Formats: sequence, C-alpha cells, structure tokens
Amino acid sequence: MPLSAAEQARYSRHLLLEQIGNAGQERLRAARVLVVGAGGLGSPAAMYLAAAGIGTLGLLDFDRVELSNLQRQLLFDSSQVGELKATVGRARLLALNPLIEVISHAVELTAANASELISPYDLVVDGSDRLAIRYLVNDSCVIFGKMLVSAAIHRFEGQAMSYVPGKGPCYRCLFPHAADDLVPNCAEAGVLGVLPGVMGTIQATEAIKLLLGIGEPLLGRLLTYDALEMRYREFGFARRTDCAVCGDKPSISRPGQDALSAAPVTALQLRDLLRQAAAEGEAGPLLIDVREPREFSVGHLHNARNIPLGELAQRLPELTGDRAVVFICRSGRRSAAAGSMALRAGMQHAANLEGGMLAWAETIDPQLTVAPG
Amino acid sequence: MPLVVRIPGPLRSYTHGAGTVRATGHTLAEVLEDLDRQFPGIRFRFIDEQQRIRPHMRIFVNQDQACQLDHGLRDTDQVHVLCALSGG
Amino acid sequence: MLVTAMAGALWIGTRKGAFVLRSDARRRSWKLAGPQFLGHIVHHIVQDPREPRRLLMAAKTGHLGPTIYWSDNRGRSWQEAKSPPAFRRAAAGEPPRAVARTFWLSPGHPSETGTWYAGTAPAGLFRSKDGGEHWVPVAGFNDHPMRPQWAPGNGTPDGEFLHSILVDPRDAAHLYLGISIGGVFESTDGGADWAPLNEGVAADFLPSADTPFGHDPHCVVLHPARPDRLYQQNHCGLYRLDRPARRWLRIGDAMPRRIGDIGFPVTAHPRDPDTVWVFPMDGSKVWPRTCIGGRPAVYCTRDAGRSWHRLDAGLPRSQAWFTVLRQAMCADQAERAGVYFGTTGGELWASADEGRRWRCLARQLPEIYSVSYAA
Repeated sequence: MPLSAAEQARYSRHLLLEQIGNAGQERLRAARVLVVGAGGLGSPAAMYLAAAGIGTLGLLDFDRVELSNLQRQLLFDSSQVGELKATVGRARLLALNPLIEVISHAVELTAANASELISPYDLVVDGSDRLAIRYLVNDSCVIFGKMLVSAAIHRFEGQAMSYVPGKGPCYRCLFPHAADDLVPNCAEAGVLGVLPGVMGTIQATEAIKLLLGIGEPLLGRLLTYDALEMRYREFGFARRTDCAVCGDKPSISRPGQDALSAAPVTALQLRDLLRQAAAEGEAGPLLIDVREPREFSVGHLHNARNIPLGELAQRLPELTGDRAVVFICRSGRRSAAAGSMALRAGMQHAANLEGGMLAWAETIDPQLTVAPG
Repeated sequence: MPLVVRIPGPLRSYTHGAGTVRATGHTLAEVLEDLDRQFPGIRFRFIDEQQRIRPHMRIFVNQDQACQLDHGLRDTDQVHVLCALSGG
Repeated sequence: MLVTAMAGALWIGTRKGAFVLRSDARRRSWKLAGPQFLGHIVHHIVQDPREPRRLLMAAKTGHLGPTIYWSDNRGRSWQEAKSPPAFRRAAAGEPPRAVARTFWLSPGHPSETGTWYAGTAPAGLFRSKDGGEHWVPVAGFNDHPMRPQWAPGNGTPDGEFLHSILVDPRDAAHLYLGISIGGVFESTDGGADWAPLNEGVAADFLPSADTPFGHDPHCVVLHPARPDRLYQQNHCGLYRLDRPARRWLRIGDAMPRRIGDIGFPVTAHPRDPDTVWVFPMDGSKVWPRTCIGGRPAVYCTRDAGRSWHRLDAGLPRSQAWFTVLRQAMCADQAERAGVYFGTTGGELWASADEGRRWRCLARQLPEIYSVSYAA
C-alpha cells in the first residue's frame, strides 16, 4: 500500500534519502520490531524507531517507572513514577507517532514465553539489563530466526553488536558462558545517564539499516564506546562452529535450555522447559527420579523414569544420549548427589531439581502427593 | 618497542586508572607477563591458572579476537582486554 | 586468656564489600565503618591471632578472578596477595580446575607464624607461609586419589566448596576440613594424606547410611578449650565428636522437636567446652532456610548437647525471617562472652552476656556472608 499523505509529510526527511525513499519507508512500515526492556537503552531505541515509522513496535518491560530512572529513561516523565513502563511507554510512543501500532508487553521474558513473544516480530532490539535475559534473547533469536541488535552499558562504557540469522556470529560466539549474575547492573553500579542514549540510538540505527538492507551493520563486529575518552573502537569476531546455540551441533535448541548444563534447575524452569517441549512435539529433558520405588509409586512427574539412587551407578550407561538429564528426588539432596555422580562419570549435562518433588508440589502442583521421606 | 595495551574499567585499579598502558613481548603470553610485572596481580584477574581467558573477558589484537596466548605480535599491534558489559 | 572486657572489632563480609563495627572497651558503643572494597563480594575476613595487627580477606569482583587481600594495620589499609590460591596446571587428559572463589580462611598453628589455610570452590585446600602473600595448593588433598570421589564438582557456581579448616592447637600436623556434599576429613601428617571422618552422621539424601563420605557438613568447630572435641552443624543435624572416638553423636536429638537441629553456623564458647551456640533454621519441605516460624532465636547448650536453651530476648517476636550463614556467627573472648550474628537481610545482632539479651548493632547492610571478631 503506498504511503498516505500524512505519512509522506511525516517521513519526508527519510523520503529524500536515496537509500530509503518511498520503498524503504514502506518496508519500515511493514516491519515488526520488539524492544526488550524499556530502560536506558530501550527508551531511546523505541523512540527513534517509533519516529522512524516502524509499523509495529513491541515494548516489553514488566517494571514500573522509578524516580532514579528519569536520569536517563527519556520515554517517561515525572508524572509517571509508579506506572507500568510498558503502558505509559506505549502511550508516549503513540503520542510521538500515531500512525504506527505499539503493543505493550508488561511481562517478564522467560524461557516459557520467549517463543510466543518473539515469534511475531522480525527483529529484536535488546535493551535488557541482566546477563541471563541477554542470553535468553540471543538464543531465542538464533532459534526462531530473528534479527537482533544487542547493546550493553556500564558506567561510562558501551558495547553493541548485530546478528542476522545465517549471516554472522551471535552473542554466544563472543561470550560463550552465562556465568552467575554477579556483575553489578546499573541499579547498583551507577551509569552516566546519557550513555544509554548514545547506545540505544546506535541500536535504532542498526535496526533501521538491517530492515532496509542498507549500509554495513555490525555483523561479526563488536562496537565499543568509551564516553570519557569519546572514542569508538571496533573488534571482529567470528562464528564459532562449536557455539552452543548457532554452532554446527547446538546443545541449545530451545530457549532456556542452557539452564540444564548447570547443576540445579528450579521447578519453574523445569516446568517451562517441559511445556515448551510438549508444545513443539519434542521429547524434552529426560527425567530420572532417584527415589525408592515405593516413594515413586505414591506420586511422580509425568514421564519420569525411576532409577533408585543405589542402582544409579550401574545404570548410568542407560542415560547416555542426546537428551539432557534432570535428576529428581523428594527434597533435592539425593538428586544433587545423583548429579555429582553423573558428572563424576563424565556426563556433560546432569541437572537436578532444586528442592525436589516438595518444591514442585509447593510451587507448581499442590495436588501432587509426595511420599514422606 | 612496547606495544599498546588497552585496559577495561574493572582492571584500572591495577594501572593507577590508566586505560592505555604499554607492554613488551613477541607473543600475547609475553605481553601479559610484562603487564603483570608492571602491574602485579592484574593477569590472574582475567587469565585463570589453567591459562584460560576467564569467562566474560576477551582479548583482541587490533580488531581480531585472540584465543591463544601464543598469538604472535608485531610492534604495531594493539592489544585490547575487554570485559563483557551487561547493563541496560 | 581471661579478659574482662576489651575494645574489639567485628569484621563483616558482605555481598557488596567489607564493613567493620568497632567497640569501646565495655562493648556498649559500636561504630560502623566502611564499606571497603565496595562492590566486591567479600566471603571471609579473619584476624591472625598470632599477629593481631594482621587480617586476611577473601574477595571476588564481578567477572574478575578471585583474590586475597591482607592488612597489617588492623584493616585500615589492604594489599593484594601476590599469588592468590590457584590450582596447579592440569596434566594432559585431566579435567582443568580453576578457583572460582576463596570461601574460607583459617590461620595456621600458633607455632607456625605466617601460615594460613584457604578453602575454595571448587573444593580445594591451599596454604600460605608468608601471611597470605603467596599461596600454594596442598597437593595431599587436591591431588589425593580419592579427591574426585570426595569432591567431584567441576566448578558449577555455588557447588561444592571447602570450609571449616581446623588446626589442632596441640599439633600443627593435625588438621580437619569440611566439604559441602563431601563430608569431614582429617589429616594427621600436615595435609599429606586425608581420611573421611563421618561415621554416625546422617545423610538422608544418600542411599545408604553407612557411606564413608558424601555428607553435607555446614560448619565444624574444634573447641579451643578442648581440642579433642568437635561440634558439627550438618545439613542433617547437629553433632559432637570426642576424639579419639570416630563416631559422631547426634546431640541435635535433644533439641525441641518443633525447632529441630538444622542450621548453618555453630559457635564455640571461648573457654567452656560444653557450651556452643547455634542458630536453628527451618529445614522442612522446601528448605526455606529462615528461622522457624519467623521467630529468630539462638539456642545454647551448656552440657555438651544434652540439653538446649532458647535465647531470644531482644530479638523480634514475629515476622522476622532471618537467615544466618555458616560464617556469620561468632563469639569474642571476654569473661562474659559476647556473641554476634549477621543476617542475609543485612542486620548485625549482638549479645554482651552469652546470648541472654540481644540488640541490633547495624541494619540495612548488604547481604552478610561472614562475621568474625578481631581483638
């Protein structure tokens, strides 16, 4: 559909650029972009993307506006402290550009909802502030075939990179491990307010370039910015053939599956993984219940296999194969021992259910009967 | 002739705040040893005892990622030590 | 040494740095100073009883490798260790191990000035002979042929770690240590060889009651007044062992049923071998790890565990969900011993009369990992 008169008036400065023109602007209008995190990075990114005429913009954030946000999150104003970011952010973006559609997602991004949330979009702009979410977004984009522009900030420094499925390395190719979340985030460490403004705008720039197919995006290029020195630098990195998510033999084929390579997995994480697998018609992780048979018979998880702990050592060879294994017991102790035993025997992915069946009954399924210890 | 080594924020407490320092060596290993001689203790914070670059730290020579410590260097190369950021 | 009262300091290791509470001679007025190393995770801060001006601190910072700091001016300023604990280079075919954090620090025997021990995650034992500047692996443990069975962990975050390194004051070669989901181990030859010491300790999560190792000690103390006596707060109960016996006795059976004998720390009285303090926590169902029913209390025995007394005067009466980690409780050496604990909610509580009455000395600190007394 050709641009309306209102659109032509609004986007005239784009239309004058040879690399954009009417055709390019129509592409932007047809595009669907999800901004994860309406914070320091997400605010400027979303604003510029809205201004640029991205036809469908998703804004994902489950937080509320706090006073300290206003030092840098220009999507909000002083009257909105306490409001849901996704809601007031949407209103602001629509006030900026009523010709687009803005969808607010006031939820937390998890392994369980990643597919449902990300699939409708073409490109994701990651402005999250936690390592775990960063990896979840990266993995989801690789798995679901979405373009990604990822950036991060800390004090006076910023980093940014882009990803196009099949055209370059992903974030995990550069930083393979998701270690424990001990790095201070902005709430704890302080950040120069204007820094995410620069990086978020860079993200919007990259997103527009990728959607239009113009210029040279940051594929296989890590851009770093030092605000104090006022210097940009660039570093190259290549796709790793052993990358856990985009490599030749990925061990992460489902968002959140990286949780299974570390030892304890919570009941909620396990439930999400099982649900996803069911939704996709796949087998999911192998559940091994290491309690005694009489305990197992009182109540156990659907599709769990019973191998009592005393027999596990001899029966470990039954568990080799491609499926990740999750050990389960009543309270989590025996399953932790089972996990250690499996690791000792050389198994790579031996997780155990933290808190055991008791945790499952407490948080997921109060109807489940758990045999007393 | 010493080459340029860029130091990320979290490690500048060793270099008296300097973001750019110089160190000598023909390989990355030698340069990092010289760096550690000048700023004792800095190396162990991003290279572990098995000589692996710690998770979330990266080393680039000019613009290319260096994964092996025996990576050869020329006088004009620049070594960049990077730390993964995660704020948003 | 009998001390009526003394000015002292409580060193507080937290998730965000090190704090210190310094008291006057009567322990009435306390002043909080800090943080030092703001933003660093401080696991343990310990004074050298042989050289009181010297303290050691085990810390970790974000993505950077773990390290040790030492002070020789009672903590006013710190220097970094020249070689922090690090495993030896792995041989070909051996799984490589790297220290993720130094969790526990113990000064060595009184006769070996400058000697210190450190326990790490993954489980490893290290020794320094120069006041914490240079550390070397204790090969007798780290390379013990049974070590892969005793501590198979390969560096999963917060997986296994080595703690409760105890030195017999009568014999520098006599050592004990604890490993989470590993058990208690003993050496009589300065760490060259080790053997498990877990008989009588429950491990409800293991298939057999008679497994020699695999238990989960939370904290083990060697009583300073009677070094043949050890107390152990385990994941599965509270125990006492009087050497040369090898079988632990579950003294937690004498705790009131609704309180149980689960907890993290156990703290010994400076002079009375029959007295220890514990902080019971809820170990039921999903292991909330907070004090039972939201009513914090310290429990004390004065008869080596035959009977227990509840000490909660001054502590909140309801809706106070304290968690006290294994290194976060300690006692001083005063005639009426002061007892102290720090919570994961950032509160520091103190008693000047052996636990009878409590008052809060500091609030809103970051999550407290360790509390230790420095004379």
